[in-house]
Amino acid sequence: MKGDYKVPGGKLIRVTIEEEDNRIQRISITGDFFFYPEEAFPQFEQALIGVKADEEAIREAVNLAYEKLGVVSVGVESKDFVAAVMQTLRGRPDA
Amino acid sequence: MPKEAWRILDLEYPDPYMNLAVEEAIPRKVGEGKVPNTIRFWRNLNAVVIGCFQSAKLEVNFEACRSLGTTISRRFTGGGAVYQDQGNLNYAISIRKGHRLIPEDLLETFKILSSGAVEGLRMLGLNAKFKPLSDIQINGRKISGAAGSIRWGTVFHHGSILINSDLSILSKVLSAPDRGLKDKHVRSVRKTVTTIRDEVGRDISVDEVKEKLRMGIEKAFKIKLVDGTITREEKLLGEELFQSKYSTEIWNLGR
Repeated sequence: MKGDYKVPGGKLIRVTIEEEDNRIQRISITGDFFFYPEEAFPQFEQALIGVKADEEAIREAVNLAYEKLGVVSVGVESKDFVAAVMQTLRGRPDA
Repeated sequence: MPKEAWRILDLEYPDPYMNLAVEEAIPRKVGEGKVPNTIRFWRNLNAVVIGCFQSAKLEVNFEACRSLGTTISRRFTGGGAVYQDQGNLNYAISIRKGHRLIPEDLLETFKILSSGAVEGLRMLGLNAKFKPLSDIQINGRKISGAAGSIRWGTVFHHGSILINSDLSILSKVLSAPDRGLKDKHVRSVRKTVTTIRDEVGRDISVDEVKEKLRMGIEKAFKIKLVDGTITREEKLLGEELFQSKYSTEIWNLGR
């Protein structure tokens, strides 16, 4: 499933997810945001694989990845990635 | 006290991949302390340049690019897709970490490093204002966007300034945010984006814009720009990055 999430302020997060047994099997996150360090982004995506497809679990995984990878983002916050993933999982690509 | 001297390079290649490879080689060598803090001016012939986190497939109209001969390329910084022809001037700033100009906060860094371009546009008589996160606007319309990174021991910032780009091509090669609304896309680009030529109301040469930009940067950063050349080491690194990264399909289209 695919979803676009417009962050208040203008940036766009675009998510593609494959879900199976209520868990994220594959995920791709793209967009026009700023995320530092840039080279940690694949690990950030990786951190969501195998995570249960509910908001609490995703928030925890995103926050943990931010902390572990020392992420600083501009134009988007960790909660925006959570919202983008949740919106995609709920199948509301145009919301 | 004499003003701090930085190097300025007027350096562009016909190949957009080489332009982007050198764009990475320079901040790497600045961070190593091999070359002074550097400003680079350059243009592309006909290219789409997407941000490092963007999906080429989602952002770019491949078919339009094919028919217009537009190259699809990816830079090492984040942010959004831009269309670049000879009517678009890029400026890149590489400053060694720890410099007096650089604050802690990243948003503030965007603002400070955009101030040279803002100053240069004002010297052209335009009412230029910084617009967070990293844009410059003239009376509410975008004329310049920027992106930046802190890595390799360097604070890096680059922006593109629309001098007289063909905005109708821009809306063809970049996918509309709402697919199927192509006409609306063309109109919305015209309404939200502007060029120096449209704002000053006359044809303006790239050299004139470069000269004002150069003066604006010197004034805003309180430095003196000295004409320089790319070093052998930078060129070799650029060629290596061209081969291993910027000319590859996996880098450009892999996301």
